[in-house]
Amino acid sequence: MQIRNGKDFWAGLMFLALGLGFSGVAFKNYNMGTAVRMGPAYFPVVLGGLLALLGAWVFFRSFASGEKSSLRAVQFRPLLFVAAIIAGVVTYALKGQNDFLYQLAMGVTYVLIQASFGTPALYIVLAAVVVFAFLMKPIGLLFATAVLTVIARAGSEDFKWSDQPKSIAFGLALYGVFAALMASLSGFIGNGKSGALSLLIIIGLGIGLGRKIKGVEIGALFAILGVFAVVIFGHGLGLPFNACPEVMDEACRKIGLGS
Amino acid sequence: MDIFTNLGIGFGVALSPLNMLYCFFGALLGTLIGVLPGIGPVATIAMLLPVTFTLPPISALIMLAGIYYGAQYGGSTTAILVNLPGESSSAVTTIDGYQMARNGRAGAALGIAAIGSFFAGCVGTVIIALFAPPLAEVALKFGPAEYFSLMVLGLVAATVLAHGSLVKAIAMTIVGLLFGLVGTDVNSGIARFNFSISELSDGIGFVGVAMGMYGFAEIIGNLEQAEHREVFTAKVTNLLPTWGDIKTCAWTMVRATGLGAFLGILPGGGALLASFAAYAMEKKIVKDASQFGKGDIRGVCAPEAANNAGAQTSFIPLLTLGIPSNPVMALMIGAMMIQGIAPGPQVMTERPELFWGMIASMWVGNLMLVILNLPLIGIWVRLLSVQYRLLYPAILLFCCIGVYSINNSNFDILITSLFGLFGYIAVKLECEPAPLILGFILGPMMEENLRRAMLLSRGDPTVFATRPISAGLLLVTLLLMGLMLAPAFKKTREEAFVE
Repeated sequence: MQIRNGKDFWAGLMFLALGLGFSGVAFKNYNMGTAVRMGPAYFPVVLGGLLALLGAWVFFRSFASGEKSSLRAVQFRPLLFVAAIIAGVVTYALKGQNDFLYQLAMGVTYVLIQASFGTPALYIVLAAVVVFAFLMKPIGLLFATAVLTVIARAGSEDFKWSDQPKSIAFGLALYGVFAALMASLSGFIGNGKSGALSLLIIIGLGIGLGRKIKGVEIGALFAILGVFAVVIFGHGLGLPFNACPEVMDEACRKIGLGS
Repeated sequence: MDIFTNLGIGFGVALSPLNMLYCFFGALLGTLIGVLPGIGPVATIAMLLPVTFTLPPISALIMLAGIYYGAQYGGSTTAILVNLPGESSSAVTTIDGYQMARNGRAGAALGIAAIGSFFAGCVGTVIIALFAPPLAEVALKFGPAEYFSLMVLGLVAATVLAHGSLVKAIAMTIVGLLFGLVGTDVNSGIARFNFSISELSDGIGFVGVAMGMYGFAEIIGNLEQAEHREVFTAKVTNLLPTWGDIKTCAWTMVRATGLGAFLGILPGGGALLASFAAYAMEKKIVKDASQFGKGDIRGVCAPEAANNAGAQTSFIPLLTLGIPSNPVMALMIGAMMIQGIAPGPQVMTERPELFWGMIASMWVGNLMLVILNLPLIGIWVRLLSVQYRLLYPAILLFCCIGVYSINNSNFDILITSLFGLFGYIAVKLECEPAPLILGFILGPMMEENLRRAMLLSRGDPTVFATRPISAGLLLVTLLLMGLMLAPAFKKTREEAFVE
């Protein structure tokens, strides 16, 4: 017996596991009911069984397939995957104990699961998203955007660590300009208008200076994105966000950046 | 004629300044994302869903519809000028479109794409206006058994029309159905598959699934294959094709529109399939096919007309039956539900202004696109020179904000990231995401209708075969499945996707 089609092999296993998982959980925990009065387990058990059958078909087909493909269809790092499982158990144990540690462990679990598969492009992009999800509330949209942008860009080819201090400082300076603009304008023309005006100024500064100074592209990018998100989504559409870190909430409210 | 009074109401709604503005905004945004490779209408609509919370329902739907057909327009520009499909449905347009650009006929290609799209858009609108009302009439007679059979047909048809292996497509549909069941069961009140995570008792958010499997997976895919772009910025002059060009294309346009409109109605169809099929058909039908692949203008016109027609008519199942035929339509259902409208045949009778307003807006939007697109091509070309490295962090951020703002929950962002991973693995294993998305949205509806049908029939499963409409639908399903197994059909299907 030799596996000829690696893609089918893994896809079959995946479907088999999902099918057995869903029908098993449903069968064990919920009521099946009868065909007349179907219980909550009925539909998932039947569907899960069907999925498992199809999975088995795809799985066995991979041994006799005419089409050949490598078993390494997706990169897989078993060590990281084991680490992810351990982190998951730790997370579960910390539930209800210490909220900060619990959140941290959960974040680590997500990142580890994602880092077990695929290329750097995959897990760096997803790590940026996971970190953003955890940081958005405590440190506010502006800084969370900065973190998201820097991590996500670490996945692209032209990323240079040596540029980062300068670049981040540049982006934070633009945030400073934004805060100053809001502080001086919002008293006169209201939050909405001063936000729009500040956004235009930040875009102008970001693009203009970002092109002139070498290596600050990422800083300029996150500053523009962060201010754009706060002004358009926060002010313009009224979506409830913290623009600034929780600890600075008071100061932020004064300059028209409160949630 | 009833239709004219109805269309009158519709145009009354669509031509109000506010709705014109949203239509314009949607069409423009659609064109923009159509032009930009690496972001599709699914991710964009998902991102914009929270924006529509604050709009009146009709304006929201008009704008979202505009994004979808606008994207079909925009995709052709990139296909012709950069040899990259700006939208997956423009993938075939690259073959002849780019060759035309290299032969110095970029203007004519862009022009014929716009004209073909506009023609198809007009016909598509008329088809919806003509066929949707009688279909909705039939649908009003549907009971749970009919709905269940219809959904089975829809899901099976969607797998036939999907790329790649049929078994895997069916399996993906079932995975979608199962994921759709996560959350509180309406009948018993029991939270299923939530693993005592309180956020999961409301179910997995559809937007997160769509965004993860399309938005994130698209970004990751683009980053993996370092792209090199060669933009034809040279000069795009003479946007209008010659009279001879139009004559050559006239029948092509008609045929492609017809085929596209038909494929758009089918579950699982829509713009993507329509464009591939139209190109393949045109190559077989025309007398002299030797120029195809070397810059034949018909090779641009056919897919572009077909994808627009398909984009329009795929609204028919949504508006009449409340059943989505592709992921974009599934998102439209989400948008309707957020606005408190239950999609289905009753929309037409209870909210005629909504139904006809949306149809009329499609025609208005298509007209706007033609007027817009030709003079704006210069701007689109400049946009194409924006580097992807500047673009993708922005897409990522807006995706996250969009997902977050639906429930104000960062848990939804985490779920989205997991579906990003799942979507990535699925694509690597050659499992199509589209059937999963359809299954996901239909899962709870299907279970609900199955339960009701069985309850009404006192547990007699033959009810699906004895009620005539239901029996008819299941018969079509069986025929489709039979077709799939037939070797001749299998071969054509494979060939059709290879092209």
